[in-house]
Amino acid sequence: MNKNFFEVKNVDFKVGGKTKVANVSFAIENEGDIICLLGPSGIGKTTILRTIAGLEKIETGAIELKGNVLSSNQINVEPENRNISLAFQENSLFPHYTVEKNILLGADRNKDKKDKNVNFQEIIDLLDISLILNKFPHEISAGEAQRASLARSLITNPDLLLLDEPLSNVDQSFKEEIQEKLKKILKSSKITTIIVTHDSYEAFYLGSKCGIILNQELKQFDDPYNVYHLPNSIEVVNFLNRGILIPAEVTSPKSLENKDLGTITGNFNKPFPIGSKVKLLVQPEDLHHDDQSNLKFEVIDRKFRGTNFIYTLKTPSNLLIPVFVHSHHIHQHEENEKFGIKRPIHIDHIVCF
Amino acid sequence: MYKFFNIWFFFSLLVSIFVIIPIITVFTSFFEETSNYYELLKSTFLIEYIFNSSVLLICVLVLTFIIGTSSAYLVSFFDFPFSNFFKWALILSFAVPPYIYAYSLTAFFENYGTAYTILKNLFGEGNYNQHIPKFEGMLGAILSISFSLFAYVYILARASFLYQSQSLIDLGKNLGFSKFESFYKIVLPAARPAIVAGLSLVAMETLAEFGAVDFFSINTLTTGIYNSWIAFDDLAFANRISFFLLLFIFALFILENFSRKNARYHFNSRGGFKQKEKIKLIGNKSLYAFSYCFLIFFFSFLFPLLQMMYWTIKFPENLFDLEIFELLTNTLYIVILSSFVLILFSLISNYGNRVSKNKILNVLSTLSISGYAIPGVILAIAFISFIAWFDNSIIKSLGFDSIKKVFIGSILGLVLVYFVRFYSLAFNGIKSGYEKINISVDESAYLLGYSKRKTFMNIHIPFLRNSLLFIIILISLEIIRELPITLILRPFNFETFATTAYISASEDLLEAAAVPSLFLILIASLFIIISSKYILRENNE
Amino acid sequence: MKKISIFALIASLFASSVVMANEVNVFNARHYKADGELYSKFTNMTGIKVNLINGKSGALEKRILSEGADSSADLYITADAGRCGAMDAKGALQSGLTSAAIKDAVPKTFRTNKWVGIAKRARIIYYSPERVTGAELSGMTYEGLADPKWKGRLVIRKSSNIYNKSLVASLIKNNGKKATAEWAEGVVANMARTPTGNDRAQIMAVAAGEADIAVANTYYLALMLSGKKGAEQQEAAKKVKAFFPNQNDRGTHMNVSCAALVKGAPNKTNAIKLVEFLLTPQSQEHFTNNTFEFPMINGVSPSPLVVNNLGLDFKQDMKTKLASYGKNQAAAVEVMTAAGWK
Repeated sequence: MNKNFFEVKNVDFKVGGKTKVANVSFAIENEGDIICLLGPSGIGKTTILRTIAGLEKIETGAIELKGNVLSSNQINVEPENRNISLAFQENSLFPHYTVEKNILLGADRNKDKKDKNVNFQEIIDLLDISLILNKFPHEISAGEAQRASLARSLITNPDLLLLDEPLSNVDQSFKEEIQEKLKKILKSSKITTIIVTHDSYEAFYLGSKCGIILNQELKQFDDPYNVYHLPNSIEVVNFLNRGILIPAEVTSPKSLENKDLGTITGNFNKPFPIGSKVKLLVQPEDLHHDDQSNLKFEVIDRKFRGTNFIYTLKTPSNLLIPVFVHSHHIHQHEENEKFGIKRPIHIDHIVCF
Repeated sequence: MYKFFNIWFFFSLLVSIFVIIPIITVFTSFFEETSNYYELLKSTFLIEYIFNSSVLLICVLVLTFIIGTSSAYLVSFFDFPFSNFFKWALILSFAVPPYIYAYSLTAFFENYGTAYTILKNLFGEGNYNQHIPKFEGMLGAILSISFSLFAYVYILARASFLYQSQSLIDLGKNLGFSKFESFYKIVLPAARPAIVAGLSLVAMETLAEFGAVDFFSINTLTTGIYNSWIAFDDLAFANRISFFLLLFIFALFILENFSRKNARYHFNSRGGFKQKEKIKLIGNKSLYAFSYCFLIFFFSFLFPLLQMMYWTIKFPENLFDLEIFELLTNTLYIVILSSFVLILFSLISNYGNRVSKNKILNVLSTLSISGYAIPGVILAIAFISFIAWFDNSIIKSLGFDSIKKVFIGSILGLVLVYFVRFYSLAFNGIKSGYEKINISVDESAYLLGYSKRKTFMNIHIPFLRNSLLFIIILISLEIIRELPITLILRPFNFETFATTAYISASEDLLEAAAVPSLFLILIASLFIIISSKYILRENNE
Repeated sequence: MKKISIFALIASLFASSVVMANEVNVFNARHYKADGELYSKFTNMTGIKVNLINGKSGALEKRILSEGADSSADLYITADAGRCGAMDAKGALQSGLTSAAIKDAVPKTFRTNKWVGIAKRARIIYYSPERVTGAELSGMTYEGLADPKWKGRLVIRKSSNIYNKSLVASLIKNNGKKATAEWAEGVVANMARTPTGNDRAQIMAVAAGEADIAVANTYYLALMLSGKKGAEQQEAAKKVKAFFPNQNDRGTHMNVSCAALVKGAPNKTNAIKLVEFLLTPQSQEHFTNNTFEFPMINGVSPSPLVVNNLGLDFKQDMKTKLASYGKNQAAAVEVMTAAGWK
């Protein structure tokens, strides 16, 4: 039996009769896996979660959990009978109960489940909400409310946990710490999770698989590494906004040629006939700094990111190329100075369109 | 799930149709023959009705605006002796319906009335009658309605003043405004939506006012409809007047909804709100502020209360003639039953709106709250006409027994028409309660394994509890004071404090009206005191 | 099962009254405390329960008319013959008040087959003896109210008042519509103030010096003199005197409180019994002593307050049938409205 734990098959996700995302298929193979759905806001990520939770109905395809159909044209298991938990982005705490009571209501749900255990105290500590337990939802901040509803969802021990932008209101300084803890607790308690986010780093970090949703479609569903390094469409490239596409001509099965950069070698993600004009994706880490090189471009802009610099270089044909270097003195250049690129240029995964 | 949705739809449709029937009835004259006599005079009448209604409306609006905003301003911005007492005491005027105020005015100022007695006892015999001002006719009606209704403006203006941020006041100081300047240049404009909302409520009630206007025999649009319909059987003319009245009301309804939205927006701005430092008044200023508020409190509440008490003591036999216990149980019975029905249906319909998220449903429920804008007199008459028509042309033609007795002159009929009249109170009250619960709260509950019923019982009801309590009190207050519907539709041997007072007064037995009026005022005051903290939004969030 | 009982409970909450076989339903627009006592007596005597719905006449009439033949009303009791007449004209009444007891008790002028007077009142002139001389009043008639000598000296109620409608209707019956229209204009020209207030207020206006003469019903003065309205009104009443107009021609305008038999009355027999009861000397005495009306039947004396202050030996208008009040009501309203009588 090679059945997936959770599967979405050819589903059109609709809300109020309007299709938000069409013909979506993806699967979570094993219990305890975490996947992330990534996309710009308003694209329909939330609709997908709501539909999986049973809050919206579907007319095409099917949604299956542990081999049972939850949603299809004919079947629609009511949300309360799905054992799927959804933590909303907005404050959805019960306004007339304290935070503690809210969280404990979640614990009530699955108290007789023995195989998994998520401990109340553990979650309180994890999310650092012990101080607000006795407060009412309207007395706490948005970030605190978000953490509290995350706690309430976690503690239900659901078969499937759905998190909608779980950390969007959490302070930046606190975010990474929570991400780590969250991943740890999800893994240790083997809670299968779908996380929706617009933060690609969060997605890459938390998810074992990432789905990119753009233009009413699930464009790519793959490992974070592949999504990043082997984006399957121009839209995905543009969305991740990490490199630029430059014109190039394929010169052999393992090389191509650009007017400004010269010859570039590496492995193509898919074969192109020799001589075809393509658009080559150049990502910041593809090029290396070398002041000895005779390939020099003008520095237009420098972004200091603490551990690294990202330079923007201008080529003679007015391409703006990003280059990533470590934050060391030797790599420091000012605007209008020349910046050398190491040759020969070799890119591990050549991504062309 | 789809079946579920249809039930809500059907239910809301039913409620809306039910509420809309009287409105349609007003505009259709298929029920009765119309008479054509005094045809020539009708246009004169119509002009008189419109003129009187306009004069009444404008004067009441001006008076309630002045009284309501000035008193609200004093108690919200200044600290003076008893300012905390006046804060809620001023809303006690709600306990005195305009018609009881009218009785008090007449009783006090008429020839050989209470004022005469007081002067005689103070200064001995004398011909005081010609020197005592007479508050009757239009002037009497304007005063009665204004003192009874100014609290609408007061409450909303005060709420708005309270939520005005300190920085707004500081801004005024910074710009070098005097207190008066900053009042009308900053404070007043900022509170405008709230004040307009209050004034439109006053306007609607004024146009619908029956008891006081009828007592002073002023021909307004509302009494005109009543008289053309009831005295002259001229339904066509009544419809024509109703049309004009509804035009007035429709305009107000839109205005009210519009400004209410703004007012709400205003209230919701939570951020940056901090309790303003009240300015402590000393010396003469504090005396003036106290005197001003006391005068308003006195004229709006103490004066009618004392007049009714005085009469009750002066003519004690009326106290013993009246079946007070029966009146009390009747009043409470009808209040509890109607509140129950109203709350139940508004809850169901609000819940339906919430779970089915249907646009048509929203439109339907907006329509179904329009009953509040229709004067009770018109609703009651329209209800009777409709039932009569329905019975004659449908029920009987199908060979069934007449249903008239089931609906006309029965508690059922009474509750049904109250329902139409006050549905918006209950519906909007629950709606605004529901608006505070995010829809995702429901969804979280489902996802935590709560069934819809359990979500409703364990999440909605406890959260709405305070709103429900407040709505019940509001409805009770309205029904206790309500006159024309009760008068026209109540069953045999069924009197309330309001009907007893009205009937005694209309039969020239004003002093006998004192006892039921006094009880009405006392019970209503009790309800107001219980609910004052909600009305004043002290406990808001 | 539980659901059914809840429905039953709710249904029972709405059920207005238990149906009693032996009852009579009275739509009552006459709200004197004394009437209630009489009805209790009736129930004690006969075992017939009297169900009351009190209200203003207009609303009660409208309800009877709307309910039509299905109306639960048996009797409609109101304080003006004009109202009973108008209800008759609309076909809402039925014949049946024809028993010997009724016919013997009530003179023909004051009844029809469908409605019958149960107590009488006269609409008369009150004057201030200080400001009005005997000569001025000598031979005074209703018609004389339009005489310019009363300019600014007369107070009378609004034209919407039924007593005025009936008075004007009787004038139309006797003098014709045209003459009455001119008369109404004269009356309006003589008014000391825009009409306001009830009959007592008119009497008090004379007492207070606002006007010299007032038109009001007889029983009001007695009521004020009785002290039931307080010492002040008693004092006021002593400052005015009553004058019975038209003594030299047809007599003073009379009116009645009347009981009308409603078409389709479910308890017709009981209704007739109640009317007969109201016309017994016992009931009539009750009326005269409490409401200060004149008795409908012979052999019962009005209240001493009425006898002493108004006198008994006046000529009543027995010529103008009260049924004409209802018939001429529309014309009366038209005449008054046209004259600008508020």
